[in-house]
Amino acid sequence: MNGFLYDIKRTLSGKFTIIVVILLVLVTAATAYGAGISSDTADPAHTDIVLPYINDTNGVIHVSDYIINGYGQPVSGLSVTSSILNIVFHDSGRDVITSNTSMSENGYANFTFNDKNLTGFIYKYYPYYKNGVPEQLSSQSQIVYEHDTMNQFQTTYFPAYPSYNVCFNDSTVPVYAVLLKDKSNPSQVNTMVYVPYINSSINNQPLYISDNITSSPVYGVTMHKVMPNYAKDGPNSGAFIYTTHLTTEDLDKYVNIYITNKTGAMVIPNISYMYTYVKPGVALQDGLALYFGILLIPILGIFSAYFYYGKDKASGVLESIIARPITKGKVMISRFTGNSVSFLIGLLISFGLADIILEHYTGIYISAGTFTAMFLGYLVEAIAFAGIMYLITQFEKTQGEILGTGIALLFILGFMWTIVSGAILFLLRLTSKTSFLKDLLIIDSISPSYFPDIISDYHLGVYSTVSASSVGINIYSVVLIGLAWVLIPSLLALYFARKRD
Amino acid sequence: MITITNLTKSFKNFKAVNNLNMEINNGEILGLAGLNGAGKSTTIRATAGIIFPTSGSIMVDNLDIVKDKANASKHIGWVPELPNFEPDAKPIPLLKYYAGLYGIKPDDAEKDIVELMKKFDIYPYKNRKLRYYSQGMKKRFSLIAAMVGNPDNFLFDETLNGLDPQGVREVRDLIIELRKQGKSILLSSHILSELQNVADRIAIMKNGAIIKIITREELRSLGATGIKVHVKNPNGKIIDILSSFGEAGSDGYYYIIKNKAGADPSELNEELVRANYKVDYISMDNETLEDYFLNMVK
Repeated sequence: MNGFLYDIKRTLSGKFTIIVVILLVLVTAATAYGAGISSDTADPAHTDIVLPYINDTNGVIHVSDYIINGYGQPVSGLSVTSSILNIVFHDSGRDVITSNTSMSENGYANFTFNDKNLTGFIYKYYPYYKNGVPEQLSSQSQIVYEHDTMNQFQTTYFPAYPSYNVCFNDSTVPVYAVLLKDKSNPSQVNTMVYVPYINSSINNQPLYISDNITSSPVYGVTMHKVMPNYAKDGPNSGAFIYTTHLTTEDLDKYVNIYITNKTGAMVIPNISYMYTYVKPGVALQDGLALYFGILLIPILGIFSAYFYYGKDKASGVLESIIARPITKGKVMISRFTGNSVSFLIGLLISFGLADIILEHYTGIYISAGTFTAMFLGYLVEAIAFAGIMYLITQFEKTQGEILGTGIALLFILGFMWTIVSGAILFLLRLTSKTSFLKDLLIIDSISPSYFPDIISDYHLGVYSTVSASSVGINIYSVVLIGLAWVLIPSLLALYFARKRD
Repeated sequence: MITITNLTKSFKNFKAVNNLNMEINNGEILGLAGLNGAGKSTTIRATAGIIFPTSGSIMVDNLDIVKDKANASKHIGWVPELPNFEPDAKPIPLLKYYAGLYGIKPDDAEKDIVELMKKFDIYPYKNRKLRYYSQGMKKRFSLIAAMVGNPDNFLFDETLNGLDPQGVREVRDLIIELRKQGKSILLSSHILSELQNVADRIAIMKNGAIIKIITREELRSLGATGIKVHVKNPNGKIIDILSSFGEAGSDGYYYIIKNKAGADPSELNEELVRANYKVDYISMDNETLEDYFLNMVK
């Protein structure tokens, strides 16, 4: 059998590899499960939102429900149930004037009735439908129409996103602000402004949508001028979707949406929500960052190298191979390749399974970029730790020495590196923030356990609180650091393997 | 053929092998004797390409074991003192892996491997991991492993240690068989009688150097000291006859004649028979290899 294939097979079928791969898969799957279930449970594609508009034309009431899904797309084929009740309250309750079931088409479900000289009526409807079935709230939402004015009483319901605010700014025409998910980017929360009637006084001038992000929620703001930094041209009729660009830096902060007219007067009360939802892959990354890169992967790299090379070399098992037509260097390369392939397969299985789990809970796969960043980051880390162990093995004579050094590596370069790097930074007495971050980056680059963070920072474009590029994280530096970790320890190990007994 | 020229191997400041020269011809068994630490195993390990010589050269069939390691190793089979194989490996896959290093196709290799395993009585244990093999089974496996690739040169490093009498005989027969096939064999052993039995020459090592190489002819007359004789019907007159052949004495059972140059046992036998003694044992009383060896290395 070809030496490489034998070593790869041997490494892959080795007990330690199997144990570690199972451990990786379990840990990654559990983390993915945690990330999946902790994301909101809204199912935007199958959640429908009803946005009613009532128009009275000479005693003929036109009800037009605009129905969108959680992505803001118009919905056809939804059976919308509603009723009109007399506003006058009798002992037996309110008279039902008419009940209606309309099928939506291109987003609209319409019906008409005569008000029969009513002093007023209540339009009672279900604001949310899940899979075509009305969400059974404690009471239905109501729009009260009385004396040519409208008001809404909406039952509070927060299925995370979507949710909406509505305001009858001029007592006749509502302005809806709906929080939606972005179909192409689940980390984004969009805001749709829906103004159903084009000729209202509101619509005689364009709306302006502004946002800002704060550490605490903003309530009851009265704006008197347009926020120049954020003002956007909004709609003057129909639906308009506005995107607030959110990053992981905004996680757990409050996003405030303001809808104003051109003078800055608030058209509806501002919306304030906490940004909690991130991309599945990023959620997985955050979860794994706690122990994966600083503990599990170093264990994988260090102990795989020990069990499949260091131990064999120290115990003499390797001699039974070296005595054959193969050089010491080739034996090392073969074993190292076996280790690396086992890391590759283990990580692919782990992240592949994690992807499936996250898709199950969030409806979306990890993005290719995030998957690649995670996979390459941890693969390089594992190979780097293995390479360091191969290098150490060339200088240590006993299994105990090799294992002891490996465990020390696990402590120093693994889960204690934060302390080590902190101590170094303290000794350097850095004061400038940028300098501090750059030095922190350089020190973090000394440990392979932080390479996944660096590649992730590059992918996300953010390092700590500053942009990644501002501290020198770019494609060149990431590739350089990655190649350095893959090549330098292993090539040094190869050099000494060929030169030393 | 193995040619070792000016081989020196140092470990830090200690010279394990010091300027050693040796040649093992095709169809020859060279025994390597020496006390512990004499440098036997170091010499063999360097010859097998396990360790690098500090200086000097080792040529295996004219291929340098350092400069042309992979090719030279195709011509050499190494049987270590303590076989140490991958403990979780099963014999056939491991041997096939070894065969692959020699460029042998898996199917061809398996056929030969099965034959060898049958020959060495470990085929019934083909599905057992090597960690569960006894020491003797490991030795047998080690012999098979050394024969993979059918090399022309063999290095046996204390191979007889740990073998039962049957195993010793099998290995001895194997070594002799290999010699008949024209292989060159370097055999180190503490069991000097075995070296004496099979070796064409014996190199005695001390402090990393060869201090004496003894040929088979020299082995036969090694340190001859007299004639040893036993008769069934001894009496007082026998001493007179024995004394004419040298300084006669008795250890209580044998009569021993010493210090007579050129004493011929056949002449003595003739004299004793003529005098009506019933001779049932007569031989040259040689100094043993062990005595000779100990005198050399002390």
